[in-house]
Parts: sequence; C-alpha cells; structure tokens
Amino acid sequence: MTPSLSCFDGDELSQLLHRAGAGTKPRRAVPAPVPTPGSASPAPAPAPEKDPTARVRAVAEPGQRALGAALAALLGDLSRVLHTSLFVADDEGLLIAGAGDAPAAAASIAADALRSLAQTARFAATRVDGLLLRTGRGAFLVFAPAEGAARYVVGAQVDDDIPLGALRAAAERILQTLLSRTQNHA
Amino acid sequence: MTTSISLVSQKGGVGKTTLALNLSLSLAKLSIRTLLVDTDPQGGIALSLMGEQSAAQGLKGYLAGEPLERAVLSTRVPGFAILPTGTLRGLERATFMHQLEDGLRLSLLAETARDYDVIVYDTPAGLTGSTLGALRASDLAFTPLQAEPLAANSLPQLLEVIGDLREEGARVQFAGVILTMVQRQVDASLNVVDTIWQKLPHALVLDAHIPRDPAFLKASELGVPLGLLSKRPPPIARRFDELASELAKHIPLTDDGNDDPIPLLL
Repeated sequence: MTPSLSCFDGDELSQLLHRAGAGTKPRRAVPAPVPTPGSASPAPAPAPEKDPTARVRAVAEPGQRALGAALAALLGDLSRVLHTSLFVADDEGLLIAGAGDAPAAAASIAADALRSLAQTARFAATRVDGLLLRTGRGAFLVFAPAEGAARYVVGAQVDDDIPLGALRAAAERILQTLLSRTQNHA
Repeated sequence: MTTSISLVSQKGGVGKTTLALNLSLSLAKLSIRTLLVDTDPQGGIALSLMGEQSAAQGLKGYLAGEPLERAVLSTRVPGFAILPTGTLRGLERATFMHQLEDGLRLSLLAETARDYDVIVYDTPAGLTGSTLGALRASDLAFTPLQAEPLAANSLPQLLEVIGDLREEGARVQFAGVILTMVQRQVDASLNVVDTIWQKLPHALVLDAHIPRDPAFLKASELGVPLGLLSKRPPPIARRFDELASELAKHIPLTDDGNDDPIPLLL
C-alpha cells in the first residue's frame, strides 16, 4: 500500500514527481520540531504577548515607521480589492503596517505566526507560500519572503471567499515592495 | 496539434465531472477549440446536462466505427463539443472500460480530432480501465483534489501510476493539482490546502481553486454548466475561467501565421 502524502519527505516526493514527469523539484521537506535534550516533547513555545496593542504602540524605530507609511497605500489598495485584512509584521511580531477590518489584532497574530515559524522552520524555503494559522479571530494566511531576504511576514485574513492565488499574488507584491525598500535603505 | 488532458482521481466524489464540464466551457470561451470526452461508463457528463443518457452514440458509437463528427454533440458555444459515453447497458460498461484501457483507441481519437486544440478526458474514479486508457493517450494529467484528508492521501498512488505508465513509454506528464470543494470555515479542509501547498512545488498547485458552493447544486438541478446558469452567471463560475487561463499556458495553439490585433468594430 502506498503511504499517504504526509508520510513522504521531500526527496521521496521529488522522486515520485520526477517519475511522473512533473519535472519540478519540490521544495525542501518540512523539518519536524526538535526535542530538547532529556525531553520527549518539543520545546514549549514562548509565552504569548499579554497586550498586543501595546506592542503596536511600541513600534518606534524610525526606519520601520517609514516603511509602514510607505506600505500603507499599497496595503490599503490591496485590502480593498481583496476584501480582506492585510498586515505586515517584522521578525519580532511587531506590526509594521495593516489595512482592513482587523489591523489592531494583527500584531498578536503576527507574533503567533512567528512563533510557529520559529518552531517548525516551515519558511526556511525559497518560495513565497502560505502558512495557515487559525486563531481565536479566524483563519489567516501568513506569507514569508524567500530565504535570505528581509525578515518580514505578510498576513491576510481568509474568512472571506477570496481566491488563494490572488492572495498569494498580493503577498508576493507586498514582499517585493518590502524587499526593494529595505535594500534601498540598507 | 491537439493537446490531450486527463482529469483523474483515485477517489470518487471529488468533482471531476463538474470540473471537466465547466473547465471545458471556459477553455472554449478562451477560443481554445475543446472536445470534452466522457470515458466514465456512468456517463456523468450527459447525465449532468440532460438528466439521462444522450441519444447520441457518443464514444460507444465511435468505438463501433461511427465517424467522430456524427458521434459528438455540438453545443451553442462556438468551439465546444462533447463526446458523451453513449448508452451502455449491463455488462457493456465493463467491456467499454476494457476496450479503452490500452489507450490505443483514445490515441486514434486524438489523431482524428485535429479540428480541436484540446481534448479533455473526464474519467471514472480509480486508476484502472478507461482512466488508464485516458492517461496513456494524454499529454497532461491534472488531478482534482477535494480539500478533505482522505483525498490528499491518494495523490502518491496517482503519481506512482503515472510514473509506471511513463516507464511503459507513455508521454503523459503530471501537470498539477486543482483544489476542489475548499471550505474556508472548516479546519480539516484548510489543513489539506496547507499540506498541498507545503508539500508540492508552486508550479504544480493551480492558483485558482474551487470552493464548495450551493450554485453547483442549482446548476446540476437545471442541467447546465455554471457559466450558462443565467445571463449573469454566479461569481463562482469565474473560478473556472481562472483555471482555464492557467491551463491555457500548457496548450500550444495552432499557429495560423496571423497574430495581428483584432479590430473591435465591424
């Protein structure tokens, strides 16, 4: 009996796809969480932020504020087109910019997202892709830039019926903007 | 050159026939001359359009020697024709499956159907019989994958079978996954989408996906594709147009040497 899809690592799946003529290498395997020495279970996640809105207010670094201002119009336009909330956060879970109905909630969601990323290393890959996160506020897709790029994530609320492709395209556009601006200011 | 595309799935009930019908219509709307061929002995295409088996001899008639142009059903949409299964009774269904399994008759059909840019094969669930035949006669295989856990598990089996067929000498290539029946409010459904995105290369997961939607029931009840449900089709019909645009990248169109702009006014 053939194992299920989730049982395949990247190399096995790559071979299957190659035999089937797909001709494209799959992305790297998702590493499992590494147990800490002497413990059978993965390391516990850091404690959640108690007051996400306080963290939003705590964004004081001038470069990031300038970045947020520069992104605001783009996020606003895309949010109106996609009819959903969008946000950009940095690698510490701080909200850089948000648009839509729930930007205030975005900081804590971004913090959740980054904790998940740190635990699973899911985004140590080379493509913009979506990680679905379900929080008390609904479902969010979080996108990260390619490896080696600036460490920001883009999130989108997916409660509404919007095409995944459109969301991914929007995330790519936002991340490209982020990348070009951070490179320009480096 | 006619490009043959199979829509195949190990699992039943994933929306193959609905996808085949609506996608074929959307391809034709892109001016891609499309022949939809039903290789499922249940005759789902004709059933979904007419509520009963078509009087046309269809594929059964073609296999018995009827000319293709007489076996197909024409439609009101320019460049879109359907080759239904034809009326099969009792053990004829098993014979039909067996006749198609080696892919030779369907390959001949593709040779005959030179008036079309693309042939879309709707296939029965499973990886045997006429599904194997359609795969053997195809250039590309797409799999509709219902966004629920068991469906995702069947993908490796399909890849294995396509790999085996290629080792036999078939040219078919696995071209991608089309997510169907996606339910945004259901965790299990989202988990499948997540797994597919995480595991497969970007190019093998089509961006457009098909959500579960009550409009499908209405279209099925009335026996029409979603795009023809009314003068203003429901928004979900556009998903098939998006899918068709993605598939169109795989289809080399006949080059008639004229790619000039088309004047709007007569």
